[in-house]
Amino acid sequence: MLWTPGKTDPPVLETLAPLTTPSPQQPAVPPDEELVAHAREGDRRAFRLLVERYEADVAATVVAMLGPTAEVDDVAQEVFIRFYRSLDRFRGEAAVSTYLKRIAINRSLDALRRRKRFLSRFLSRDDEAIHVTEPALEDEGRLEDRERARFVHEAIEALPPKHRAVVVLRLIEGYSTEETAAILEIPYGTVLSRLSRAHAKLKTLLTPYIQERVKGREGEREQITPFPPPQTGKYPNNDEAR
Amino acid sequence: MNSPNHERLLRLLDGALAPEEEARLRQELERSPALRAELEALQALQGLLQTTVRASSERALQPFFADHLMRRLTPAPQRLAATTPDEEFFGLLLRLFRPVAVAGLLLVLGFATYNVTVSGEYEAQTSTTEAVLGLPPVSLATAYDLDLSTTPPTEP
Repeated sequence: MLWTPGKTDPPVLETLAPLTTPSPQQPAVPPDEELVAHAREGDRRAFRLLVERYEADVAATVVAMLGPTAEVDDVAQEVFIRFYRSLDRFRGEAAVSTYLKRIAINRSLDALRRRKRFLSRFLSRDDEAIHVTEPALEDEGRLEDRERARFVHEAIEALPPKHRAVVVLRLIEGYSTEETAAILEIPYGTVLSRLSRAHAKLKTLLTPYIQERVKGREGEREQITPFPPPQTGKYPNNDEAR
Repeated sequence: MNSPNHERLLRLLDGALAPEEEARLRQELERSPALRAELEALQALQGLLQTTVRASSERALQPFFADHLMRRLTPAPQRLAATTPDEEFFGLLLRLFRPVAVAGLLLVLGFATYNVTVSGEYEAQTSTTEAVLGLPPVSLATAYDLDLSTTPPTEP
């Protein structure tokens, strides 16, 4: 479904006004279902609102899967384009965030496969180990942060893609094991075994940083603030998000 | 760490354990320093992953991500209508380039064919290049000896 040429798009808030009854103090925040319904009818501003609402979440998932590379923007665009094309099939049985998360994981796995094919075709094993050195003109703290971030992303990249998807959803995004299994369409036990193996590997690779953090916690007893809890919903066993 | 413990600790961190299950696990944690260490390591790893990914994803998308995306979702005629005069001009040039290039190539081939056909009519021997380019059959030697005077020499 594409926008029909020449069709004028009314402002989304104007369009949505009759459906929502905002309080006088608060600006109208149309719910996802309403935006999806309008987007399905060809309202591009409604779809744009959905993009703006979820672009950061999608970026976080894709970055976790691929690392902070130039591919992230392309893959994130692919995710929303895929979502846009499947609007007619989206039945609203899962939350939009969950649906997008599933598309993001699938697109990222595709990107990883493409990357693997490219590396095997054009680069030798030695070339893969080449890293771009970071610019040294930074203060020590920032440099340390960047170095830590690089190690963490390399550790995630060292995991097989399927294990990586489990780590991203379960440990980073904060989905439950049941939800992770539903999103990836794999058995509960498989999630647990992959998570266990991935956890062991990450722990080995990131030992110094984990110890540093544990010591810091002992000192401060700080509270970890995870990502905001994902919107839970039913997880239909459909292939729309593939 | 085995999977059941791992899962229980994760559920504890998520606040997803039933109250009695949570109480039981907390008792186990008090008794077992190894389990406590595992919980702390898991908590630290989760925090490390979350903060790193969150920081990296802040700069992951190009500026005007939504604009670029909406542009990709707009069909061509509508996209053209939304372009500036400069973009329209370059678009026109781009569209014209291929037909103009093909017409030019056909014209050159036509001339070359004509030249080759006509060169066969000359008695003098011509090279392929001369035939294709339509040059007269003149060698350096003949050009050197060429008499360019228009009037014939008068006899004394």
